[in-house]
Amino acid sequence: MKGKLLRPLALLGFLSCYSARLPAHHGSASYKTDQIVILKQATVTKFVWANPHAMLLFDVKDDKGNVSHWAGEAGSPSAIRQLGWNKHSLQPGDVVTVQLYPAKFENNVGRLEAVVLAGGTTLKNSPRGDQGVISRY
Amino acid sequence: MRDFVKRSVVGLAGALLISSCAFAQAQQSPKPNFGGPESLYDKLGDTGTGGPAPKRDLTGFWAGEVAAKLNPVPPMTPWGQEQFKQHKTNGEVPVADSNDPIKGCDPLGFPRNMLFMTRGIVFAQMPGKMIEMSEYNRIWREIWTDGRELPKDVGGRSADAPDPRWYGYSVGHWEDDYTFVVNTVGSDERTWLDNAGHPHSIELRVEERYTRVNHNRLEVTVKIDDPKTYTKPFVITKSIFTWIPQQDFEEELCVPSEQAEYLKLVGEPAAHKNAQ
Repeated sequence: MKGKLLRPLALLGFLSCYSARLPAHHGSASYKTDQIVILKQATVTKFVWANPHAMLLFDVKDDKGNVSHWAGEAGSPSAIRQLGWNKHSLQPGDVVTVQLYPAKFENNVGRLEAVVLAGGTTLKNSPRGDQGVISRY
Repeated sequence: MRDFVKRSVVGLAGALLISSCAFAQAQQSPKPNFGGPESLYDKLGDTGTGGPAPKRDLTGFWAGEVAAKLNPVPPMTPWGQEQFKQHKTNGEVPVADSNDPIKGCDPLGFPRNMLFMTRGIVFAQMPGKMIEMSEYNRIWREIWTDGRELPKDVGGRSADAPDPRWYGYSVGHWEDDYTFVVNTVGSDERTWLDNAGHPHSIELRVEERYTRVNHNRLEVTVKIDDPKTYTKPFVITKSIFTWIPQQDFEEELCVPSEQAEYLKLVGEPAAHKNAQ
């Protein structure tokens, strides 16, 4: 019984702590910033190294083989380069795990939290550091 | 009895949750860092003093935080409030629905460029003027040091009235060997003061004070005086910049075509229920 009680609490705790530390990205009004979706076996279709936002497009299959198309936004190249990314980090066909904050309308778009590469390397996304204006929103 | 055990377990877990959150927050460094450095400023960390500051010299590349920490604005005038109501920020509504000028890569303008996207600035001193450049969008301001006065009646109706500028008109002087003071007028009213959508008028006057504390540290104070918009002058920020040892930094631009692609692929779908 304790296990049943504690597991969801642990998850809630993780999300609560995590969301408390999540900065107010200036586009966060679109996203559920207290919820992380983890998409495994995601196949990269396009990686756009663009300013002011890098973007990752990828496909995910469900149990029945139905494919859904997703898009995730990251910080600017100059920001995520500090975290180990470069324009060659992801190639079409790469199979990765994507962690993202989904859009409120659940339209298969989100703000990337991290991408885990097939070799196990984790590329964290930049929070876009708007800490200086949190109190203004 | 089972309920008692259940309540106890939940209570204990709740207490642990609160304490673990408190612990996590207590562990945060003075420079917030969520998952890693997101700017060169974060990555450089404490660079030491580097020795004494050279006299009357800001020349070189400096790293700052992505966004300056801002002080609260004073009460706005009725005119200021009216402008403020019309501004839909990216924090309040999805990016696709905002009317922030930078949504389409319009210039940040001055003084917003000294409050946001301040990852890098560069100074180049030359006879009669100081050039201050920003990493973001690679823009520059010329700050005249030849003793000229600031232009009057910017945006006025007379034939010789100068036009407003995205980055205004600036003059500067050394207050002492380590503090360079810049005064600016004429910032275009289309620009916002900050990310929160606070407005400014053409009457805005800004004073920046750049104090080089030692070789590696530059403190910048930005003071706002805009009687048409705010009921009193105020210091909006005091920011710190760090000397960049390699004297170089990344290129960071807002590229209109790439921003348009972002809005199409991510911004619009994220904002509207049936956009995809």
